[in-house]
Amino acid sequence: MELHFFPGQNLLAIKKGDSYLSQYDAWGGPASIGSDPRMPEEPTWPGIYIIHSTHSYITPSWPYSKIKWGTALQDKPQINDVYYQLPSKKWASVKKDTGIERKKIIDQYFTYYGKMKVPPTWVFNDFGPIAIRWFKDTNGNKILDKKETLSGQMFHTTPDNEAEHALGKPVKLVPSHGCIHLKPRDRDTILNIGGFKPKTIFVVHNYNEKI
Amino acid sequence: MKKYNWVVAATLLLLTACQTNANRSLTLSEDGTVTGADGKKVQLDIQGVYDNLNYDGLNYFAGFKIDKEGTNYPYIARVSGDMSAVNYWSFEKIPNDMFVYQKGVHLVTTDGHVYSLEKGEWNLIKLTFPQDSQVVFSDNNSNLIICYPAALEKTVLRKSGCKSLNNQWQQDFVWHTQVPKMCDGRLYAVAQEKDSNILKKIDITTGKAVSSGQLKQIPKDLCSLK
Repeated sequence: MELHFFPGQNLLAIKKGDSYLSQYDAWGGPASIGSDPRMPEEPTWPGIYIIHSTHSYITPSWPYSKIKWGTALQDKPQINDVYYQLPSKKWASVKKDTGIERKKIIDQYFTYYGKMKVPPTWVFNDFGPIAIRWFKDTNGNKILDKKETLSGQMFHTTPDNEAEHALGKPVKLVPSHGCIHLKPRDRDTILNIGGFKPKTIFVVHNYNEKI
Repeated sequence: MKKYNWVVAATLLLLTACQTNANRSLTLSEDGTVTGADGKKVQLDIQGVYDNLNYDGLNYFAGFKIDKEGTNYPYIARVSGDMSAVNYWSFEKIPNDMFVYQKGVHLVTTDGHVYSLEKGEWNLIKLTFPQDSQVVFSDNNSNLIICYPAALEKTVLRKSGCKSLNNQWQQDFVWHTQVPKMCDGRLYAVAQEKDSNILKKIDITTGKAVSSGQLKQIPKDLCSLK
């Protein structure tokens, strides 16, 4: 089984042998460098890669992504804060560690879920519950080694799409900064059929290539 | 100019609100009790108080009424200077900031709509600000300086920075959660540029900015930066 992404068609296909078995909506980055001053959008770089792993992703680069998806929250309205649970099981301040205020959490949750409350878990990480990572296999052994590194581009869902999915609404994908956005249901389907299994070959085609 | 100073973990001093007459020292404790300088107490029905404004002898608090299911209802509470009267107003959208404009109390909601308090009612006015705007300076008349953050969500792209209503200047730069602040008559802002943080000192009359070098650490109080 191989994964083939056609960024010009916003399409991810699963290939077995010579035929494509199934196709899914998938949105990558733009064809050329973008203008987001926070972090310019970039193309999803064409090439042949190897799927490495699936895991929840955190990064200091984006405020909402400093906390892992699904992290338990405690509302603290008396002190105008929200606490989140650390891996040590201790609690820490969202405001102190991310700068995000309680009212912003309530406002964002309302935007996504239509309820003005602090959710029980963190559902704002920009990379969704899990990210699927890949790497350029320079020595052809399908193992991340030597000077090989994981790509900063990855498959993931987005919080707004997760909310749409959870609420049973149509899921509308948007362009990425270079990662590949998937619909939550499609991510689960591909995971279940083993499409994201480590060592799977993953091809990003050129923007002008069509399936 | 009207932000909280968390003097003690549980206590909020409301002394430093706007430059007005009849300022009184009020203390808001964790349980929503407002205590006057004379020890008189009033229990507010709102929690999660995140903004306050003192103007014309009246104290305004932005917070939420919270029901048993945890649903938050945005409210503004107004406490009279002698604490003899408390008024509440509910809002559909969250009031993001309260400020004085044209000698009247106003607020901007998180979606950028501006309301004016007139004769005990909040009226939507024509003025609109960018999403999540905060008013960082007001001369209480027509000069406002507004700062608006970059979207926190990766998939949302919108302009961020600060601008003056009166002097018609605008500074575009990326900031997220560190709200720019007036320090010694200039506006201090931490701009995010690639992986660096740069201090901008903005002349609020001209909008011209002098940028410092890269900041290694961002202090809690921007005014402590030189």
